[in-house]
This record gives sequence, C-alpha cells and structure tokens, in this order.
Amino acid sequence: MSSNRVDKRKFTEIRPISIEQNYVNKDGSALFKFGDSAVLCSINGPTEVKVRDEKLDKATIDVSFKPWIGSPGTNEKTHELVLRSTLESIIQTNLHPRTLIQVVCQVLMDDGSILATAINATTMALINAGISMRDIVVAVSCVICKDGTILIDPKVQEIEENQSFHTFAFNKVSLNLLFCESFGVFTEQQYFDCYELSKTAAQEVINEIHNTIKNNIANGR
Amino acid sequence: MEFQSVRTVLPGDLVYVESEKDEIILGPGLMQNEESIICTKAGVLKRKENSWFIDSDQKRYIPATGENVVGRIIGKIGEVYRVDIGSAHQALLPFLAFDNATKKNRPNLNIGDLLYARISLANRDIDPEIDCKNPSTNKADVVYGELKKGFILKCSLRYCRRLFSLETKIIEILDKKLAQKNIETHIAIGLNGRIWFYTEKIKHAVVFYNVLKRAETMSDDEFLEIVKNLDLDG
Repeated sequence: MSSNRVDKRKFTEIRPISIEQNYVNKDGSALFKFGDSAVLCSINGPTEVKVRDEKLDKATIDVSFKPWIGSPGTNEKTHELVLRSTLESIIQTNLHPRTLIQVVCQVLMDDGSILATAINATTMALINAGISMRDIVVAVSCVICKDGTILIDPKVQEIEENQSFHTFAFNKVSLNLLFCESFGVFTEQQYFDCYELSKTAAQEVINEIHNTIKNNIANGR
Repeated sequence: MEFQSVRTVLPGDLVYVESEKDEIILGPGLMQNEESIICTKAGVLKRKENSWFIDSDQKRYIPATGENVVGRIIGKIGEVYRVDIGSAHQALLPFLAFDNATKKNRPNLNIGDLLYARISLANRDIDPEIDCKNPSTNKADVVYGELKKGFILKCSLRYCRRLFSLETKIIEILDKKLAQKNIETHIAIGLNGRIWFYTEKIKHAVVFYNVLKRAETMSDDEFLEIVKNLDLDG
C-alpha cells in the first residue's frame, strides 16, 4: 500500500514507539514516545493528602498536565479531566483510602496525538509505580482526510489539514472502549471505521508495552 | 521450598491456578474477581505450594503487619511518637511500646532520631502502628530500638526484600571483606526501602553507601568482583 503521508507511513501504521521507565526519581515514572511526540509522566503515591481533598473510602487522584510551551490553558484542563476519569475507572482506589495519587504529565515534544501519548505514558508510569490496577489503558488517535481515508496516529501537520480528529482509549483485557474524544465533521459509518482501526492499532501498542515490561524485568531494570 | 517463578504478568492478566488443595492463598498483586483471579500489578508471578503472589518493583512502602522497618521520629503527640516510615500515613509508636518500659522509666527519643521497629498494626483505614517489642517473648530482641548515629540509604522495596531474605549474597560478601580489614559495621535493613548502617569512619560509610546502592542491578558474581577491588585502607 503506497502512501502519501508526510513520513511515508502506511495509513494504518503507528509511529515507532519508545518507552523508558524509571526516568526521574519518583515513585514511578515513564517516558513514552510516538515517533517525535514525547510525554514524560511521573507518579507520586499513595502519599499524604490534604484534608480538603481527602476521601474516606478511596484514594484521590490528582492529575496535572503541562504543555510543551507556555502555561496550562483550557486544553490542558480538558486533558487532565479526561486522564483523571479514565484512571479512576482502572486504578483500585479503594485499596488506599485517605491517600493521594499524584500524576504529572509533561509534554516534551508535541508532534500530534498528544493526548493518546499522555495516556500511554501514564499507564507505563502507573505500572512502574506498582499501583494496583484492574486493567491497563492504551490510547490511539486518528484523523479522517477530506477524501475519506483514515490515518492512524497523525502528526501535527496531518491533524491541521484534515476534517476530523479522534482519540480512543481501550482497556487491555477485552479491548473495550474506555474513552473517546472527537472534533470535526464525520458520518456515523466513518466513526465506526475509525473505532475498528484504532482498536487494531491499540493491540500493537499493548504488544509493545508487554515486550518492554518483559525486557525490563529480565534485565533487573 | 523456594519460590517458583511462573511468568511475567501485566495488570488485568488472568491467572489460571491448578492446585491440589481446594484452598489457595493470594498475596500482593492478585485479586479475586468472581470466578477468576486477576493480576493488579506488573511483575513476576511467583508461587510456593498453594500461595501465589506478584513480585513487583515498587518504591512507595505500604505497611503490612509483622514487617521490620527503619523509621524516623518526626513528632510527639500526647502518649505517642509519630514516625515517618515512608508510607502514605505516619506510623504511631506508643511511648510504652518498648521492652521493659513503664510510665516512669521509658526511652526518651527526640525528633529526628532513627529507630528499627516492627509493624504491629496495618489497616488501610487506620494509621499504622509500630512497636519495638519482640512479639513472641515480649523481651527485647537486640535489633529493635533506637539506631544511634549512622546513615540511611533509600532504595527500592524489592532490593530490600532481597537483602533481607538473604536471596542474594551481597551482605555476606561485604561482611567478609569488612571482617578481613577489621572494620566494624552495623546494618539494619527495613522492608520499607530504607537501609541504616553505621561505620566508624566517614570514608567507609561513603564506600558502603555507593557499593550498596550500585549492587541493586548486579548479580552476586559481578558484586564479588567489585568488592575485591574495593579500596578500604586509609
């Protein structure tokens, strides 16, 4: 399949993934890269919580999302909200009542699909921190071109040129949809096509994560 | 019987358990969900007869009853000391939780003092409690109590577990080397990711610190090689 994408990838191909754990000296951290897009996520916790945020029956999850350039705006606030609600569905917060799990995502390089990269980075950091989770979550983005073709894991240039942009997050075990976000104009059929393609790409991300974890454990980290 | 490694798992993986007995014991990282058992942590699934658990790499300590910890006193409130053991909540150490302690005659510890203690109560809903008593005889085991002078080294929980259970020969090798040179050292390994040690000379303390810190990712043979070339004179 020949392709006219900027980096000559196939339409349904994700960019090369690179994962590095124990990146900073925290309870857990990971650097996740989709090609040039890179997000560093660090986790602190379960740790002491302010009385104001304390929940008697479960852990409080606090997410901060720091952009590549400038200070956090409304976009980053939305990402924080998305990350927090997604994480609350997979972390076993009931195991650590009256504590805080602090998640900090720092974008190191923005080359498109940044929310998906951040979700994957957070997953890797949570695994590194040893926080109990029912499942893990992986995310993939895609765009629909003006001619109707679907591009998986788009770069910035591809997002700007196209009609609609979607981000899907799946869990690992059953590949069920945990979260989705869409911008732009698209038909119902196109949406479901995107969903199916993202699901296949998500499986690739899961395989990559699995290999990384296996290697890290084998090498004693 | 040794622990037997089964395979590497990720959170959400299902575990199929064949056991001769009807009853199985699930340790850290495993959870029962209706009919199945699922993993909640990434690591190596291990078993010993009918006990199963996941050996994961973690830095934050979560208290469990009976574990030995190295703590630092950070406050005195009423009849208890508040002790930092690296967990989410500060541990409580009652003034009378020492051997032979009475209302009139009890150890007087100050803020900043270090101690070696045992977790006597660990419950997710209550602050953990620790004591410095030997549980079986209620008599002082030499190890529990204040740690005078010395240094603290922070490391991962798995490393501490390995050192504590003597799974690696790191301590043994180091001990031999130090005995050769007639260097006196004391060491206390806390399962909360803190190792306390004392050496008379600062120089030895620096060497000790660096060697222990770097040994985390080494095998016994590699470590032996490093220790052989250590310069402890002067």
